[in-house]
Amino acid sequence: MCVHLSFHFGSQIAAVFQSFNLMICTSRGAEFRPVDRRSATPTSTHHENNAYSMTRPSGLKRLPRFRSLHTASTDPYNAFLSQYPIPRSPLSDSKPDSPLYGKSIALKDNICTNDALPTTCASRTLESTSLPLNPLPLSPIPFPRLLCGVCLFVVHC
Amino acid sequence: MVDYFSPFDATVVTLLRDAGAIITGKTNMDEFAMGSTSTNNLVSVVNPHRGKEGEELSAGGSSGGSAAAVAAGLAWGYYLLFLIPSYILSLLFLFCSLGCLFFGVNRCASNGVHGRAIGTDTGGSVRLPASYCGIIGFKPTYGLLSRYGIISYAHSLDTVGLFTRTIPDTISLFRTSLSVSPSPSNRIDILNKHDKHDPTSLSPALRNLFPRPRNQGSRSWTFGIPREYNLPSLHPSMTRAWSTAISKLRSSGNTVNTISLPRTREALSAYYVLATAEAASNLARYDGVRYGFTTADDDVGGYRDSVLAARNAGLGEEVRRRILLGNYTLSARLISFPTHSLFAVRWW
Repeated sequence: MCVHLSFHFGSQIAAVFQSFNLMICTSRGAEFRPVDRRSATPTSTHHENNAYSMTRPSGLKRLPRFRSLHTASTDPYNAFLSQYPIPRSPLSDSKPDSPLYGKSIALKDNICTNDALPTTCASRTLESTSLPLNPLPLSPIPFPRLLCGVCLFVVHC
Repeated sequence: MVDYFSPFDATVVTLLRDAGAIITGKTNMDEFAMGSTSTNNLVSVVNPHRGKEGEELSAGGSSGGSAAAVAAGLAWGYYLLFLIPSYILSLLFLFCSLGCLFFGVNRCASNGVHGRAIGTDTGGSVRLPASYCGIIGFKPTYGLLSRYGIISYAHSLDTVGLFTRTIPDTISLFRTSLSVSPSPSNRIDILNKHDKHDPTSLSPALRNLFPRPRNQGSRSWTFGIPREYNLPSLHPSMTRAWSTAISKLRSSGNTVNTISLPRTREALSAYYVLATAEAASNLARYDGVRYGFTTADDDVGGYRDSVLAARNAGLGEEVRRRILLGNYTLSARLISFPTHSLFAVRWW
């Protein structure tokens, strides 16, 4: 069972997040709650107080606190402003014979997408958009579904 | 604007998604693409390549994040997994098996490493970072790729550009017809398409006028190399690469001619006049009323105060500087008209 689980682990986790479709990493995810923009004062985000004040010898600005985990693992170059944490699959109605099928592509932040990724132009003026949904799947799974899941899990193993 | 997300995909994104590509994230850039080092933003992009003494280098800009992501081959961000407490993880685990049984998880993309990214180029914003990071950057001619859905900086100069690691990757993004027989009927272009939403997109009739490679290698081309581009200040390694490319073109049967673009010297000045002027009018919408950051105390004063506060707080230093410059350019006639007429009256 253990071997089986570890074999499927990555893809299973991916599938769950995909079906939830609510996990997004943002580099400015220092505050992971929906920001009320009316009450957000200019000093309350990391725009001035963190990012600009700490400078590297070469003049490059350093990252605020939360990103350290992220930087250590996947993005040490601050290349991303927002990123899906988990591989996703292509659209179901896309062409499987296309040379781009299943290939991952990163977009510059001034290109609009209507998915859960915000489009900010790296600017505070469009930062309004922190996160559309709660990033952590904390909503409890209904008991019947949980029971089903447990049963199927047992059968599956 | 509290929960503003774009209501539509940019045409480029729609085309990519239709082709089966997966959007992984949004990359860092200079604020509103203004800059050429990717440092006019919240956090600077760091070049994946280090200097000789291990120092951090700029990734170039403004599409520095795209270039760095491609150069470093960054994968998906997994870090949120660490934040999930173990009991939630176990619940997820149970739920996973369900998902696995029902939805067939094998469709998950295995190719998680970035080999491709999309950027925009107004005044070198694709070419510079590609050069700094040592990857392939392709800036197509203005009007070839649709700009619908791309937040504009300067309309008359903005283009969409591509970052890849290899030339075949660029071709596969731009068009796929090089390997197939490229008759117009079975050309499958991915991004290189006319878009009716973008008024500056080249029409199909105009596109048909472009020469196409019939058979790979059998047709020779004529290249013009501007004399003015051979600057004395160019780094020797760049000059070497330049001349190697020219000799390779010659040896593969193409003609290379020297041409002259005498206005090259003024190009940068013209760019800064045009781009700032267009930026001033394009960014006027971010006043905190229609779009943009709204400060908490915007109800205290009138409209002017609220716009002032919102723009001061929301826009970065470089952006404000360029808007100011652009407004000077745009209002140049307002100043000169009365003064000139006064001078005329006085002279008369």
